[in-house]
Amino acid sequence: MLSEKDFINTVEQHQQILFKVCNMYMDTKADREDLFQEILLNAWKGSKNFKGDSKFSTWLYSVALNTAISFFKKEKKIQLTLDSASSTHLHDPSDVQQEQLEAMNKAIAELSAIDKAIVMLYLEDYSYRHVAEIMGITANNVAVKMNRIKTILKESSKKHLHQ
Amino acid sequence: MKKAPELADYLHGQTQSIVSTIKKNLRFEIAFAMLFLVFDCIMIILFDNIFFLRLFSILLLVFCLYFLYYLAKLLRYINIQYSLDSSVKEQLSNYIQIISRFKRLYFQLTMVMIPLMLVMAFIAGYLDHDQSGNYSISFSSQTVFIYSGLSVCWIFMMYFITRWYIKRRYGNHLDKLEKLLNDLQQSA
Repeated sequence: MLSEKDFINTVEQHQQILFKVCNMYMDTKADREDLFQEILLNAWKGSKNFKGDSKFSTWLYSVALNTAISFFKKEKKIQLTLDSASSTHLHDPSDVQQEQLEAMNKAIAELSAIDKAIVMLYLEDYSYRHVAEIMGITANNVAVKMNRIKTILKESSKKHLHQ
Repeated sequence: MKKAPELADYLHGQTQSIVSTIKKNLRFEIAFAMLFLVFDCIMIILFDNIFFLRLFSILLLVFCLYFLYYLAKLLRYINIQYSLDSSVKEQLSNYIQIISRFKRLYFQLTMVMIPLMLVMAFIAGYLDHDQSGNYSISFSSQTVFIYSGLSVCWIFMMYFITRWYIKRRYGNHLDKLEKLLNDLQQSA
């Protein structure tokens, strides 16, 4: 079991994960802050169960996504901001047009909480097998869902681009 | 980026998750029930010369023990099942189970206690005893009729209020979780 100091030091190195999840699921600074604290508290409480079978980052993703998906503190239409987009590492803004990036971010923001989690893990280069483990479904199911999400994102970002 | 001292501060904050709220509620109910048990035992000892009050206290004790058992059982279930590092699907299923069980128990607890209290209060007021311990009827039939009518209205009102409150407090959350689980289980 990690001591409080070790836990904080480890989280400090992986806090980018928490920022990404908070930015993906919450639209205002205050809500992101609340979710950040909730994830951190849950991770700390659950750290005694971390046996080191998986990487700490994978475990933290799992805790963060579980917390974010069931976190219904404030009911609002989720909109991803530019600030949050930069931390999801979709593309390097210098490579793609800002408009396309914004359209893609808006499209991602419209996805369901479950689809967002799958997209986030996919963008983090997790294999379908790993995504399946974190989500608790089969790798085939992840592949099917990912194909559907790609189609939705393509259509939705096109729509946002033309607006 | 947040620095270590700031992260440490977060660890001493309060969680806002619904499961934590349920756990807090359960602990409060258990503490209250235990306190009530002590009070009830004192009543049984003190009112050994008043048959009705003793019977009333014993009945309350039985109900209190019954619900204490279920409250503790649910708290234990939550402590075993609640683990945030399980898969998202497992986690959602656990959440749904926990909230559903809590909702059911909360409703049963409220709905059993209300008529029980009304009947006990009625009998306590209906029967009056003198110094020698003999009982006599202290209500007129009209009072009995009015009291019964009001009690039925009260039970109905509490039934709907309790249902509305549980739905508002936990039901909407449960619906969303069930929708998320369905989303996750859909293959395409």
